[in-house]
Amino acid sequence: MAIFVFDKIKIAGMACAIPKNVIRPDDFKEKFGEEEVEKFKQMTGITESRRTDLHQTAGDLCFSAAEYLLKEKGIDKSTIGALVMGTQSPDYRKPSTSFIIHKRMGLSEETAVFDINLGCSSVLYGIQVVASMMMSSNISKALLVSGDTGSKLTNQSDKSKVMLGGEAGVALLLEKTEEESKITSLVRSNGEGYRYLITPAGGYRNMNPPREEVMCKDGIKRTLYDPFMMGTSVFTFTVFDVPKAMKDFFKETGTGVDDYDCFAFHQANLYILKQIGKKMKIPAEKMPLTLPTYGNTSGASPIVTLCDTYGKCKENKDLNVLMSAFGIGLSWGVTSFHINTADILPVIEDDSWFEEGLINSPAEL
Amino acid sequence: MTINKFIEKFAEAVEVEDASTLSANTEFRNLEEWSSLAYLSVIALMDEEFDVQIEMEDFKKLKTIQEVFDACTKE
Repeated sequence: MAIFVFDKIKIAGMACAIPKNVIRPDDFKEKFGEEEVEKFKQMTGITESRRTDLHQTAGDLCFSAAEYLLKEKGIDKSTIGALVMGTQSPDYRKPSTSFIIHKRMGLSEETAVFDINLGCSSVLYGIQVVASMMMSSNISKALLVSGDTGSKLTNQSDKSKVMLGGEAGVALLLEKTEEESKITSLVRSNGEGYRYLITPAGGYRNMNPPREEVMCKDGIKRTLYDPFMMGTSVFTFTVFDVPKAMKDFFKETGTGVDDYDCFAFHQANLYILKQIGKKMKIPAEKMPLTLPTYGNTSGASPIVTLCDTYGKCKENKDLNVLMSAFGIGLSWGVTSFHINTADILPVIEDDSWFEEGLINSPAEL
Repeated sequence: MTINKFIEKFAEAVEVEDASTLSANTEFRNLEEWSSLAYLSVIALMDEEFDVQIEMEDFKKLKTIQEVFDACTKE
């Protein structure tokens, strides 16, 4: 079992940025019909979510969240030893988006910088990767950011996806500490499910096939360039494998549901979260749901949820958080950590984007 | 669990209002209420009540409610 324990490393702060533009499933009633939209809302719990404009990227949102976090925490940027971004919506084919953020933030050359190509599990894996790096280095402070803008690729007539995705960027500050603080992570993967969530074309396997729409088994037309989700297989994976990982995590750490104050889960959809909650007997008040206002924000979603729930909390309260994320890969896991509510910043709105980064002609280069 | 109790739970999962319209021999895929969401509810029911995690390929072979019940209780 891949289980990691990081002693004397803590999550010293977290922040979240969202775009201002609001999208509502209700706006799609004319397109998909009243009944379909109501069914969708009931199943997913989504009543609205946020979308970036044409040129704003996940990297822009992550940059905003990271800048805000360091400013609020009063952190000297030169002390940041690593910047890692989890995303599947990069600014460019290459280089990795984390380098754009590195430049914009003006971080030092003495920084380890790279992207992790993961979706819904990116923060969970990111914590494991960054904490591992810190454990074996002299890095005392590191930034982990995550965000996706999956809606930009989604076929606008795919009713299973177009109303589901929300967009957000989050930033976490990891720090070495002398306090009693521990992060524990369990991570799992199953490549057998690579087709369950996939965008088949545009990668190096099939780079330029025709953009022809074809009727799929679920009655929705897609091209090979559109993200595809095999809903029923994803559902079975989440309701079978996620609780199993959580049970194994409890066994391994000698803890149980009662030991945690908050269950910050990937906000996949309401139906899935209810199933997991029911199966694990998690009290509803300990399991915040932010699907109604943010939609499914991919890897960022557990942090979006914490920022939304505790960002405005005025008291200093120590929270023992159990985070679980699961999705594309397939990739999933469970992580526990302590965080003071004062270190969880409220969600901010920001539509700014890196205009210099938009290259309109190769002749500019 | 008896088959009758299972039929009640099955009806609830699939959102068939009157469980008495169902029997062990009902071919559930022909029900008006059958949908991909109903499928999810049924596999969630099998998981919760019987701790049976059925693969989609195996579920596809099941035709009647009795066969679903048997898949839950065969151990």
